[in-house]
Amino acid sequence: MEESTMRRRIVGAIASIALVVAACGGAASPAPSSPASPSIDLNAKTVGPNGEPSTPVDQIPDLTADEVAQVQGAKYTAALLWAGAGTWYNALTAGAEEEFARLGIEIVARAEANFDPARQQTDVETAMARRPSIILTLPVDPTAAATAFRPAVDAGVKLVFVDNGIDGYTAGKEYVAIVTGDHFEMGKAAAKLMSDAIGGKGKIGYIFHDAVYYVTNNRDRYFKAAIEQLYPDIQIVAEQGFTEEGKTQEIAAAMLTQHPDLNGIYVAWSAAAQGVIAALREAGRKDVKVVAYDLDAVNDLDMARCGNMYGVALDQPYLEGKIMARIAAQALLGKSVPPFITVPVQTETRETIAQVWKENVNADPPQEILDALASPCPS
Amino acid sequence: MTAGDRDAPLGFVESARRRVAAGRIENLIVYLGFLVIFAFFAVVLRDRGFLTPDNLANIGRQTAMVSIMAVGMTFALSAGEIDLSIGSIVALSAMVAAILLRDGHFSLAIAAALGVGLLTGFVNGLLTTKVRIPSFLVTLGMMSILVGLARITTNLEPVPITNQAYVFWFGSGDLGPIPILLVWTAVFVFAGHVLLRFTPFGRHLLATGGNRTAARYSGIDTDRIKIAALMISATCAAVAGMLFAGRLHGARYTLGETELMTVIAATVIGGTSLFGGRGSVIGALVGSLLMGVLNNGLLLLGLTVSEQLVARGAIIIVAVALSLREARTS
Amino acid sequence: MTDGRAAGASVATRPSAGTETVLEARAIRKAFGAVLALDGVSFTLRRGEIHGLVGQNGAGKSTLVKVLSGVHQPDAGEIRLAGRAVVVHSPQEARRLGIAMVFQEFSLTPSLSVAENVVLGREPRRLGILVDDRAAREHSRAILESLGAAIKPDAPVGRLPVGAQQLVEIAKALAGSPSILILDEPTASLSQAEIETLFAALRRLRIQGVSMIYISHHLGEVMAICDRLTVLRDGRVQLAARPGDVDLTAVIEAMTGAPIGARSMGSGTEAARPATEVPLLELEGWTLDRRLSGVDLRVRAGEIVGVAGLLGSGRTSLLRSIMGLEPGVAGRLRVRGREIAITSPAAALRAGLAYVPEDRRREGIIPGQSVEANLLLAIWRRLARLGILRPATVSARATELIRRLEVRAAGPWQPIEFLSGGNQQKVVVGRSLAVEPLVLLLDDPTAGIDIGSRRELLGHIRRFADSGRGVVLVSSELDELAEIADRVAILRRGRISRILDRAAGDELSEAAILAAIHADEGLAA
Repeated sequence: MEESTMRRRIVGAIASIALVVAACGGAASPAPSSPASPSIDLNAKTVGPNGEPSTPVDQIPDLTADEVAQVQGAKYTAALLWAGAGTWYNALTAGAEEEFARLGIEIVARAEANFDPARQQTDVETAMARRPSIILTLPVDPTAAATAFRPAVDAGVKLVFVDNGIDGYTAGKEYVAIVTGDHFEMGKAAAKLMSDAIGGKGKIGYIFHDAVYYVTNNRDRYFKAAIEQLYPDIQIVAEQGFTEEGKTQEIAAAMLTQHPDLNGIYVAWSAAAQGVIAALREAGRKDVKVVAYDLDAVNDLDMARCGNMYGVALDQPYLEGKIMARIAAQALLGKSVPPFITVPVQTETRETIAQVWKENVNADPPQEILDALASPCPS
Repeated sequence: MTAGDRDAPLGFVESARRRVAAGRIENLIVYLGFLVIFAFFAVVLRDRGFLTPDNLANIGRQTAMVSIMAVGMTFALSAGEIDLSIGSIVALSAMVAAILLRDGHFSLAIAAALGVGLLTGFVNGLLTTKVRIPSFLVTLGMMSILVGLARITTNLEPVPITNQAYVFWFGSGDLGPIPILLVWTAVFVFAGHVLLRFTPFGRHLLATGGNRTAARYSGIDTDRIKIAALMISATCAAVAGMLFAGRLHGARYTLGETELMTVIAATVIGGTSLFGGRGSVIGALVGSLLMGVLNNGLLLLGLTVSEQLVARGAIIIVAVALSLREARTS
Repeated sequence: MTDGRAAGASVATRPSAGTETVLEARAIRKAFGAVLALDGVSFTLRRGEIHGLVGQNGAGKSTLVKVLSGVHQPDAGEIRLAGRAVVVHSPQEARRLGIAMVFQEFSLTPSLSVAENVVLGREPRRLGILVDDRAAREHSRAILESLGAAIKPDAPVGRLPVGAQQLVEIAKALAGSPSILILDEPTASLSQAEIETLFAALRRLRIQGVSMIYISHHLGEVMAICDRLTVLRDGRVQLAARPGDVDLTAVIEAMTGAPIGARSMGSGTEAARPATEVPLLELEGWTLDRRLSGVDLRVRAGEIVGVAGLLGSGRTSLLRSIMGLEPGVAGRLRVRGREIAITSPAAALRAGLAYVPEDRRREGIIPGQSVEANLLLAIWRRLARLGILRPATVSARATELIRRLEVRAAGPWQPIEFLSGGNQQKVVVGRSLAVEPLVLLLDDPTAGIDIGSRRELLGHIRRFADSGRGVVLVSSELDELAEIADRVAILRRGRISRILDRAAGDELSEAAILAAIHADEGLAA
């Protein structure tokens, strides 16, 4: 009996501590958990990780007919090692595949690391067994990737990055170039979308990605800074971070509970926005508008039906994939390539859905979306 | 309930103690824990909207799928097995339903989604009983196979659902003031509770998990019981998948990815033994609600994700430790 | 044979048996709580002799050897080794003193080789920490040779036949060069040929001067191999003699304390009965691989048929095979004259047969569940109305069974672990009775339970039979069989060797049953 009373006390103590921590944590930090934004200079131009100036994508020349023939004759191979999977990655792959096919380069390995740096290291090792001439990749973790990709660098493989760079690597030495959407501009574009969505003033919720990930961190920060600096009539009244996509539904529901007069919600990316829209629907709040990033069939359907989804800012993954493949080939031919290439931002709202799908996915949007677009919005 | 005892009227505590011992209430701790945590948040968060009808309805909706899966897991665990494939069944059945709904086949979509659960459970059961592979390994492998299938069938793209009837009945509809998801929860919990406690099948299942040899000697076909248990668990997951898709108006291959641990935690906190022979459907419901209230409360407190994870983990460990202690001494 | 060539060879090369006393126990007394296991036992062991130790269950044999091998400390009395008084504090010290024990359940590790098992715990070392495999192999080879066993040191033990494993077990005990070897039921799982090999090895050891204590229920073997024997009963020495000087009858009477009557000790076949009466259960030519061979058995209404025999005689296999738990069984089975093929316990239950297994803890009770759940396990379907179990009905039935069987429990809701062993057993039996079977099959139902519960259980079994049903009662408690059985079949290595029938005038006493078990053993090996 002695032993179990002792255990009961210890367990009770842990329970109380846990609850106290919870209460204290809640009480002590209504403050935002994202970094202060006024220090961000919205006019700064996007630069590469080592300060390289950016080159717009339209300045990248195509290969000449001779060069194409040369590449085709050399029978190069490529590996695609992405950080995750989904619509955006599919578009990236589609663009790369088309360009590689044109140039007669065979894709010998594909992998996706599920956002796990250790997994990406394994992916690199495995892919290297096929001795590719080119690797197109999105490094999951800029620090860990330095070790992961070393074998490829040593073997002289042409590395091309999208979105993230790798710490300590220099363009022209370890890798060819970084191709990226302009994340700063995307954040600002999302802020403009939000302003359009709620009529220039009101209260919004800010659901950001609570993890160290260059792409989302930049977009989130720039969105916030733009709202604060450029749209003073819009206030961020609620902020909550997330790591699991499934959680955003609960977060949005909680936000609505605590701020019934919310006008809009910003979400760090499209797949996560689906839960937010579901929460708004359940609460019967047709008036709250949602802004996020990237193409997504389900959210675009909601957009087409004049639902909560107002618009998304996008980079152009299809184009990015194509350019990555192209510059890899150019590097193999010994040509010099600009170190940091940016793709202009696009925005998608109900009016531009069909056009954006055409440009980015090279196909029409799904039939449901077209059907929904056919009927006008109730005003 | 204990009309057979011709004792003098019992005090509340003694009556409760006996019901616990008889396995009629598996586990007092989960009920106490739920009340304590609920009361704590009700007080601390009274200005932050915890007790509003909307918030409570949200908790009900958010926990519906986990509760239904926990009912299924109760059967699997009580029979002495475990089902790790439920997360993937959610994804695959949601996908199957969404794809078939796209072409307008309402009944076929529902039948096929349920079929995913029934078939998976059956195969899991067959491999466990006839080929004698432990259910842990069988369902682990199945988890991987199903998620791969979900990804292949959709090429990683999400599939929207536009069928209004489906979306009403299986997700975001309300019957009067009551969300449909709560109705689903109530139906499954009631059916599960009656099946486990008040039918010969349920008793045979508990016996199979408690001492398989003794059950066999008493004429119970333990293989059939285990197959049925795994089929129940898988079908509950399939229904949960359909509800996820209905609620989100679309299916995605990542659905259900993170639910497995929550479901097992809810079931075990509710008094079901990981080793079989003891199970409580009501307890699983309360365990699920406890975790739902916990998530909701920690969120409304404004904790960061990291802080939420630590607090949640600590409280779960405490709850499970207490519930295991309770089970051992009763 | 004896070998000095290999490094570390340790088989003693002492002169062979003389009259020198190597171990003496004087007036050993040992009690466990209220139970007096040894009441002033004195015992001597001479060098190079094989000394048999016999007695019924509970007579004190295992307690005595546990005291000698350091597992228990005696409350009174002394132990002398080669004339010097010693106190054996622990099994390790016993080994150091040169006393080694060969257990009934093997202590071998099947995945390791013979040599590795033999030297386990005393591996020869190289450079202090590395195991010297070659020395281990040589050492074991030497010991095995001294036993005359043709076993390779590298063979994996798990693959060896049981007889060879037994010899490896002995070799392991010999690895420490003991002067005294205690063997507990060494022939329990051995075939006739394997027993011969074992005896040859023991004789070799005797020549080498090793002294052995040989515990066995197989009286014939004891008479064959031992130089002297000691009979224990109720913790006291009843008889100490040389096999040549006494006969089997005298030994049995010493074991049971009752004289064997002059009446017949049963015949090999069933006594004649009115041909019109159809037996409730009938087995004809019942065979199961090596375990049962051509068993014929009949159980009539109102009859308790006891089944007695030594370990390994096939008693449990008999009951299990009737219940459909042994798929390879052949022969005919008739219930009430109708021939049935029973393929599963469910089928057996449907046919009216119910089974109470031997191991209550592992096969009987469902731990963690209530008395009610344990009692009603086999009848849930019957209790359900339209598929639903109403709590009132369930409780009522459980309470009724508890009352009928006099189970001492706080209520049907009580978890079964809180009941004493005897009451738990009543629940297990009650579960089978609840089915209302035609024939009840019980495997050692009174093993390990208190005397009060025993008597109650026996009473219930007798009343069950008297109500016009049948019972097959397998038991090692011969006094209980003597008390309630109408007939007792003796199983010997899978065959029924004799049947004692009260109605036919055979004596059905504990001594008579014991004698029947050992009859025909003659001077085997």
